[in-house]
Amino acid sequence: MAEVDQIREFVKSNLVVLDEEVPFGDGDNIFELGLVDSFFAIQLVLFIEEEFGIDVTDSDLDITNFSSVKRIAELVKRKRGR
Amino acid sequence: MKNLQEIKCVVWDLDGPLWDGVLLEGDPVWLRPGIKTIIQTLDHRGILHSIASKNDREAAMEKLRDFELDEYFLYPEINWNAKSSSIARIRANLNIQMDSILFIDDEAYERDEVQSEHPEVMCVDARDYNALLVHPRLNPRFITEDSAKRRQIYREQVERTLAAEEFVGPRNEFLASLQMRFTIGKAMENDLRRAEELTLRTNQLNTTGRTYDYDELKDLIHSPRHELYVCELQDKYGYHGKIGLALLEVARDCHHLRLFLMSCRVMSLGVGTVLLSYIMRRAKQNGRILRADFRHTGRNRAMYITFKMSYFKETRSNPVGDSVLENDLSVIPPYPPYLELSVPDYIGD
Repeated sequence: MAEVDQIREFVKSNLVVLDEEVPFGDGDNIFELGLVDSFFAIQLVLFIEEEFGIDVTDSDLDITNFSSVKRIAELVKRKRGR
Repeated sequence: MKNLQEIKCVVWDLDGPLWDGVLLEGDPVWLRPGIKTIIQTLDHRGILHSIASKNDREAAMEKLRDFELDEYFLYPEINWNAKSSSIARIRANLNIQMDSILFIDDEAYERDEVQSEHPEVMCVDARDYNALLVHPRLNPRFITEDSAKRRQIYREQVERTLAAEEFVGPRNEFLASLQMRFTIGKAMENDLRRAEELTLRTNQLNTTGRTYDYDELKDLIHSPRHELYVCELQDKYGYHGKIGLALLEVARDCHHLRLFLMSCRVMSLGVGTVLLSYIMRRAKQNGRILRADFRHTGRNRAMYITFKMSYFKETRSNPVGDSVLENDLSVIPPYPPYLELSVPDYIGD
């Protein structure tokens, strides 16, 4: 699975909204839309560190790197040196 | 000793430390003298108990019920696995740190096995059980209403955990099914013992790790330049207690969070940013910018992530890891839809 697909799956399985099916695009801001919560943010960082073998540093921890599936995938690619 | 954490959980081996005799060899087993008092006294101090025993689970639980002790043990690990893995599971279930666990066993090789896997666990020879009650790490500074009920609160958490495991459906529906009620209020004098305890015990979701004693907190609630908020949570399984604290210094141009903490026992319920969101709204409504002190303690990365992901940015830091984070309040996280929120002066979304 491509990185972006794995990330999308992870986000989908951790949504906190009450609607049945909330479609969201890879470019949508998942935090602003209230789709995910604070616990998810912590889980997400741990997930990408373990899954992709990268180290998320304090300066990486900027919301702009995590606001959407696309941005997260870009961060992972950058950290992996691709 | 100065920097060692208070013990939050005592993990017992059964044959040897708890009772004389080996259960599976058909011995009649007798509780060791004074054991029940020790367990009850520690329980009253807010210290939890668990079990790591290589035994038959059914037989062991039945024997504990016979002794009327079963209710004291949370997440008992009675199996044939290495005790170090049992302790790892207990730690994860209770969501505490390894260095707040005490393991008591009569076999040196078991203690050695655990110590080699978990160097921070305090391992005690069962021979020395009578010294437990006077050990400094088992004598918490205060016993608050919340601490004496700690086992009950964790027991309710066991039910929640089981419900979460059995729940078929997405996490959001599970959280909604809990019917959570989150209350934020200005701290009063009768909150201060618990507030003090929170500053001492909360390590992971804590912005600075600075502790405050009762008198300091009392001065702060009477100070015109400060606001101290406490938050409580309850759900259909019971009352979580007072689980969060925010100390705000209010100035003409700025609201400055001097301390922000949430009990990690509620970490997985997604309520970490509710109090933060409220603080952000208040600052915005009053036309102030919001700053927060942050100190990397080596244990509080989860809180750093929470702040950074809530649109806080680092403005300055010093070589020892103190920094000031700032939020321009252009984006405020919405309140989660799955809880009922009660705040002192309601500010709409």
